[in-house]
Amino acid sequence: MTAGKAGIDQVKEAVAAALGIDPDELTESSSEDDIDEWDSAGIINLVMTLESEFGVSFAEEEAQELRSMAQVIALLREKGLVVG
Amino acid sequence: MSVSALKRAKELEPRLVEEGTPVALLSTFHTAFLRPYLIDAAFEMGWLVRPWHAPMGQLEQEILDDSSELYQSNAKAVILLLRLEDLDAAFGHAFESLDVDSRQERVESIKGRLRSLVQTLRDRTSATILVSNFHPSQGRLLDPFEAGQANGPAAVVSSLNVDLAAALADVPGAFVFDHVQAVNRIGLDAFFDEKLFAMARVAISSTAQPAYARALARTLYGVLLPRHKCLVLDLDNTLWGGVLGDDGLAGIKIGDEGQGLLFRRFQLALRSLKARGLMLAIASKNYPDAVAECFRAHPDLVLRESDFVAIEAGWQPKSEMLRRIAASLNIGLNSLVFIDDNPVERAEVRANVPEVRVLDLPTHPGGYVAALSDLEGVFAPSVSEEDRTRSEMMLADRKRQEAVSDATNLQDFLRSLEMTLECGDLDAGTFARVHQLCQKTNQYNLTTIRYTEDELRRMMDDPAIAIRWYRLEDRYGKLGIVGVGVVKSEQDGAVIETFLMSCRVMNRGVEDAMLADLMSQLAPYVGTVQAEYRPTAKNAMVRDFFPRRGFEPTAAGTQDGERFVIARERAPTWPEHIKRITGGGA
Repeated sequence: MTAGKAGIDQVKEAVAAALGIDPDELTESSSEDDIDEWDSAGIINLVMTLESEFGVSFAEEEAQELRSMAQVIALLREKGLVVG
Repeated sequence: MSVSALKRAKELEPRLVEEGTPVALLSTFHTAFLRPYLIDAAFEMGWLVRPWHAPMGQLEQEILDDSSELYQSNAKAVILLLRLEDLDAAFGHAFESLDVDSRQERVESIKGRLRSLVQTLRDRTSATILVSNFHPSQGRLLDPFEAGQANGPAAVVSSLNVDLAAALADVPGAFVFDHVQAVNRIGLDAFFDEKLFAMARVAISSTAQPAYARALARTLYGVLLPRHKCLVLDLDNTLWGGVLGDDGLAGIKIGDEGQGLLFRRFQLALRSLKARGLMLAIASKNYPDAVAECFRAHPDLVLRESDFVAIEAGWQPKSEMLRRIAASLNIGLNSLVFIDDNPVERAEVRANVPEVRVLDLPTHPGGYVAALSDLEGVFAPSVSEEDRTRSEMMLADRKRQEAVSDATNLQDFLRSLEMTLECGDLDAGTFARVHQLCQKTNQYNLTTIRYTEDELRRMMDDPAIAIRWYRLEDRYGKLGIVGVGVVKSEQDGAVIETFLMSCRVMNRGVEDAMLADLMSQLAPYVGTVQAEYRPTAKNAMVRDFFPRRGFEPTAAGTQDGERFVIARERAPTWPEHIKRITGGGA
């Protein structure tokens, strides 16, 4: 799989789907501190969903960093997935 | 694509409580993450499932405790997903350090454990049981020489799989879930992700989850739901490349190379489904004559006219063709699958006959065979002889119907069928079919007595009881065992306890031949024969069966129905248009 391109709304949708919440509940400043579903199981779901949706792969240390929208977006940028 | 599946599953969730088929997953690793993919995969098959996931590793806890959540889940299917190295860590990287004897010991212990789990499940629930088999290369270093080692892990695991399949075959309602096939299709490297496993014991990689869920959903569908009966196929760019009307018989692509080979292989795959008991039919926008000519004259077609139970070629909407096909085969629209490369035709069918399952063929014919592999409801755990010959039987039925409309008088028609009726006593070889007919026949059944296997076996040993079966063949083919009669001889007369026949052979004199044979089985001392009609909601068609054949009503009706009597010498005679042969060991 090759990494594609995604806009901020797509990332939001993916994160929401992974956490099982409504995309409207998410803002760019959301994190594990203000979303109940963003727990350890949520992080695993997030890793799996982002990997299969965007064709990226996270190292274990990176996966552990996926604790806020800002970190998600930063990591996806790092992997060449341009986020608008 | 995974996000859309997750979203769909979430939207479906409220409907699952009421409408979803409950299924239970028990496993040695985390499976909860499969849930949305399983829901979504089943939904694509037009089916709602409601998966319940036992906590990881709780096999005995759920299965041996009869008040566990598993038994409260009311699951219609229980699936055991097992990793060998979870059952016994020695089957991972430690395998090489075991000597041959302890390898065998450990295999035996796993087998014993699974046998007892499956047996307990069988005793406590009527749910269908699926047990995953083991991948011979999973969880270890990939030694390129392993396949050649007699006691190497590949050999040990493969033989474990064979034993597992054999053990499950002995348990009613228990089947293998072919984990090996699912992993092979995905690819071993793509299937497992060390990182995810280390993070959370997720033993299926992110990208493999949708495909694995599809394999599981397809298997569940195959064991829980009725199979589709007939695949209705388009012709142009579906069964062959190009357009017959434009390119002509010589111009369409089908053959041994290039694009033609893609279509040829698709036809071969369809023929293999036909051998598994699926009927094939055609719905094509073409001139009927051109289609007939093509099937007759094209040298490279795999499928010929005789492979299809119905051919609709013309210019009416495909939805109408599908309706006509269903009517002509006397099956429901919901047992048809429509296969057409053209999305417009598929949309028309979806809109106008929503009961029909519409297969979305990929845009390139190179993907057609895989699309058949992915189609649910075409594969079944076992294929009977009846399945294998279904198309031929259906075509023969059609010819018989045509013959009826051709014949100018009934006697000529009956003679033209050239029927042979084989009559025999119940024996081991006919037991299953006779039992099945007693259980299933509703309409042409005078008393509708549903003998259990045990009862039938006991009756077989009683010299005063004759249990006769009747096997029919005519010029159009074999129809198999179509009727059963049971007569009991007693000092004060005999009683016809059971008389039943398959409806599709009625009014051909077969019932008269059966009755004549049955009456010839009476003990020598019997003078009169009594017979009974017990009305049910479905057997009104045989209400007058006995009176029409010379039986007299008796005043002494039973509480179940009406009684009739006839003197032995007035018994109906064998009809001359049917040839009689004696069958079985007699």
